[in-house]
Amino acid sequence: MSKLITDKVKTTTGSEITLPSTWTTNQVLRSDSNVLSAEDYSDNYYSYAFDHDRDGNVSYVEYTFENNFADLDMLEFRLDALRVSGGTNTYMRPVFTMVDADGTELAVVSRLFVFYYYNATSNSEIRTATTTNSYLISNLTSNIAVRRGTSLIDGVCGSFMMTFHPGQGNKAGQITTSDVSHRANGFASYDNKFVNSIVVHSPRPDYATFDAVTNKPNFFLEDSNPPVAIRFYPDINDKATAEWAGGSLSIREIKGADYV
Amino acid sequence: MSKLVVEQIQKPGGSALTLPTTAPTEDSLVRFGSGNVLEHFTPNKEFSILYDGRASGSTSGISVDTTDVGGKKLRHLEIFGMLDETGATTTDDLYLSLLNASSTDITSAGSCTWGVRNFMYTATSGGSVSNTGNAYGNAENTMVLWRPPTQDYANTTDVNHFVHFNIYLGQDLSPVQILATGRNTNRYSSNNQNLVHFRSYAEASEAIASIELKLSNSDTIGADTLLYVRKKYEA
Repeated sequence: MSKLITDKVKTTTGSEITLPSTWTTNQVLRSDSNVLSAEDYSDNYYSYAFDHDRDGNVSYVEYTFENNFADLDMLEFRLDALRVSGGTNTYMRPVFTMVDADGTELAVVSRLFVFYYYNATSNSEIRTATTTNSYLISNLTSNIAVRRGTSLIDGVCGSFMMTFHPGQGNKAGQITTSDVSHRANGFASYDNKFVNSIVVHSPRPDYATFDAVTNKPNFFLEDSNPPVAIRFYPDINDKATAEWAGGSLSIREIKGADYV
Repeated sequence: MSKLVVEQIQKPGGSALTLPTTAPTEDSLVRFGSGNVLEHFTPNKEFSILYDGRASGSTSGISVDTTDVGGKKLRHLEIFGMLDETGATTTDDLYLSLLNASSTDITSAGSCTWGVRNFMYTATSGGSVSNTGNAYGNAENTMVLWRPPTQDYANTTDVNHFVHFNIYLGQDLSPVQILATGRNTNRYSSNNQNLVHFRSYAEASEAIASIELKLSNSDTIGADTLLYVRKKYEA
């Protein structure tokens, strides 16, 4: 078998390219400033924060940001048939919280969230809720709240994005969901027209300027103590015993350069 | 153009690396395969074309393989794109047929238990939002992705339907479970269109080896269809 032994190769008019020294199977070839190297490669299109097949039941999911929070332009969270169990209620109010470098969940003032729901008893409806130190994915505690259960029909599906106001020093902006759907609480049989509810989006449209006190956007995080991680709880009312018990949760950190 | 033809390259003191012998058939990445052989591969993280009607014409159904790969179960399918309906009937359901390992349609064979299907929509008429509504159904023995009463998929030659939905499979759950959720646009009569959110669920008595996207009334999916798919297997 013919073999070329060399440190570099070069085309007639091109640049010298340095060959890789070491690699392991299934790494991919990367070119950086004409130096070829091997690097690990993930076939998944998001970073898994939680996969029940791998992680089993957990009371909360903690995801540590790969980037400095100040460098992020957007965050995308994907909920793939997440299921919940345990707890004291038949319904759940999923939330996430921000965690600083000391592992402390960041204190934020009360947040108003607006949820647009389709339901089977009327065409659609709007609900609002406020929370302290946390960000609601769904809120309702009525019959169309997120129902607890581990069958696939109980899966919470969809995605939401955390978008930051460009040019704003402190991180402030919107959390907007996209097509979140879940099984409605309150109806034991799935052969029932009221079984599902779908969240369309949850913006907070009624602020004009960013102001942490009087004109609050969806969220407001101080630059002086930025988060380094995010935690997802299945139930804001029962952090101690409610568990994520199925499905997966994945995250994509988005910087402006990703779209250049 | 000068050319040096070799089968392997190697840094002094390093390991020999065997070059690929064939060109990739499409855009691909290069990785270090077993035996220090460079090989092309198509990353799973990208959407791939599920069906291109421009090349393949119309079809009675679009099939997706849902069997294991490398011992890993398929957990999640994401499908989006434009769907063209060209059948004779102007009011159709969009639905999934579920097939077992013998390619038997267990949908019609009655091996499935059907959960309620919900459809929530915002309707427009003549360019303005005129009403919103919702509907449900549990009479159809199919995995329905669109069937609000009175506002079925419309047959049209110039306005395709946008679809974007996720299908979740619980192949190792008992019974086997499948959940679909997503959104479509639907032209339901002249100049009228819906934005639809749906959620549909079923249980099957055996493993689902493939699913097939179809229209009711034996109508066909037209040549202006272009759908993409992305699959996610268990971790």
